Amino acid sequence: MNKLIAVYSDDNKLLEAADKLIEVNAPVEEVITPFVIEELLHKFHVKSNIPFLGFVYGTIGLISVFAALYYTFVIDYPLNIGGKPNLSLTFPVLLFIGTVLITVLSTVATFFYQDRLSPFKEPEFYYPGIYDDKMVVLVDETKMDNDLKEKVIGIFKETGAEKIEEV
Amino acid sequence: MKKRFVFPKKLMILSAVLIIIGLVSGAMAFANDTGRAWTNILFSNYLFVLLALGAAFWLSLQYIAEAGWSAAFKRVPEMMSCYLGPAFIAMLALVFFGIKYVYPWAAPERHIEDFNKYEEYKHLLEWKEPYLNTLFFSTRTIIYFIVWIVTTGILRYLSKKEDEDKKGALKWFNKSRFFSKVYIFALAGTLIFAAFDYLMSIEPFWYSTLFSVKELISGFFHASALIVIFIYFLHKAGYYPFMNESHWHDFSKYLFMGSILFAYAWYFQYMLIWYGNIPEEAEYYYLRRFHFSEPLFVLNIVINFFIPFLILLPNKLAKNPKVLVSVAFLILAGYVLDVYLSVFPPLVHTFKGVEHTHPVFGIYEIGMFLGFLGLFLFVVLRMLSKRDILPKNHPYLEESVMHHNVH
Repeated sequence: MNKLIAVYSDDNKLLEAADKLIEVNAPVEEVITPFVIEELLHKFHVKSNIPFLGFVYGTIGLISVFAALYYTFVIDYPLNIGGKPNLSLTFPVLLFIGTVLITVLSTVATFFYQDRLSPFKEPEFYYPGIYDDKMVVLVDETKMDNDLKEKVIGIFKETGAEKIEEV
Repeated sequence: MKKRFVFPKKLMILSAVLIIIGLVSGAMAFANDTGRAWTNILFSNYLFVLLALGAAFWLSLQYIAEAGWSAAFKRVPEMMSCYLGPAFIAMLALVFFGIKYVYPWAAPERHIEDFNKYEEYKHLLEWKEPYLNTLFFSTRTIIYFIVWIVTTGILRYLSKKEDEDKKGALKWFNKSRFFSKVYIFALAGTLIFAAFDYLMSIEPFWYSTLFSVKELISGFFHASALIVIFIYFLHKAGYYPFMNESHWHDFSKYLFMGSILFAYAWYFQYMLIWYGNIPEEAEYYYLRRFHFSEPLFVLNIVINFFIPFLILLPNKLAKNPKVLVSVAFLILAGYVLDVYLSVFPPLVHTFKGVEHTHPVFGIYEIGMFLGFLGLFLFVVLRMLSKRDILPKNHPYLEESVMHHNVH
């Protein structure tokens, strides 16, 4: 496994450690927290492309729902409903619902794909308490020489990690 | 940081000039065409009344949602609702002196020139008489304005108490929260009938139960746009030095959400009437779209929904105060157009020298609108200068000043 982990239960200490780890260029692989700490995302320059993809899915959804409606109501089976035009003003209702549905489903699928999640899958990493109040920093041990490793362990100790383990 | 808003001399002169323009053009309008003058008073006054009500609604929403970020800005919507006082006088004048020039049910012979048509519709007007008569109408006007002035006044009074209380103001905050609910219920209960009375009864044979909802949404949406404009210029003058991207972003969320809400309200009324296609109902849109002006009718939804929606969609533009304030100005232009399309189309044919129902936007309309704008600016800025710009002792004030969204 070759991973060095440090366990925190105070997010301020974790942020302090994150600053120092970035300073020494430690190969931090993952930080697992029970709640979102936005500052961490900024510190590690983690940027999500999901908002943009959501917009793209929305556009595709809008166009495809319109195409489907247009095909069914105008081209394939034009019905005279109360003398209204086939390209009806009621389209926006269906467009709205269809666009939201397509966008949400594709965004969730993208999220699952990007985070390598799926139902019934065994978690890649588990530490008791990460769903309650424990925050875990994972550092890749294979990318570190002994010098750096000592430094990293020093940082963990200094910032008050509750536990430092190798898994 | 400047603590108290100082009403600049230039602005005072500007609003005085605007009021004078309004008075002069109003006098000219009364001399030439009384009906047109009263129509303009209804148009401009209703427009700003709805903005004042929408601003108080915005404020109440902040209270009941316990929103932290907006606590520092609450003085602006608070003082915008002060306009209801002068508006009451204008509306009373309209109700007592101008009612027969504007509302066909008050003087059918003036509005329905075609005698045969009048005979045809007579029984309908008689049937609606218990509700649509001058006495009950004026009573209702008085009730609406008293309810609005009292409820918004209570909110202002509680906020003043909160400022003065040295022991800690949570008590007043909780009371404000309670009275915000009271205001929202009171507004819902009165605006339903107020919108029916002031705008819908211009066409007494037409009715839509969705009309008031649209007006409420429109007031809320456009008042948030006006709040953004006020905040922007106050910020520029140095009153909110702590403002950052997050504050602007939260303001822009209101405009974005409001534009969608407005489009929804516009659409549900139009679509249902279009689909139902009952002549009595379709008349309203038929008149506006095919007789009055199709470009203006389409422009209404374009500048109230499509443009703000597309501009505020990218995150970067939404956080840019300059973009935001231009969108807010655009939205307000859309608001003027929206109210214009509600009031004028059925009345233009009663104006002197106007034969057809085509858009009329002459010197009287511009002048009297500017007059009411000057009055509104004067009232709001004058009241704003009476109290400190930042609330004191507000439990969420700190949070508002330190507000920071991380995304």
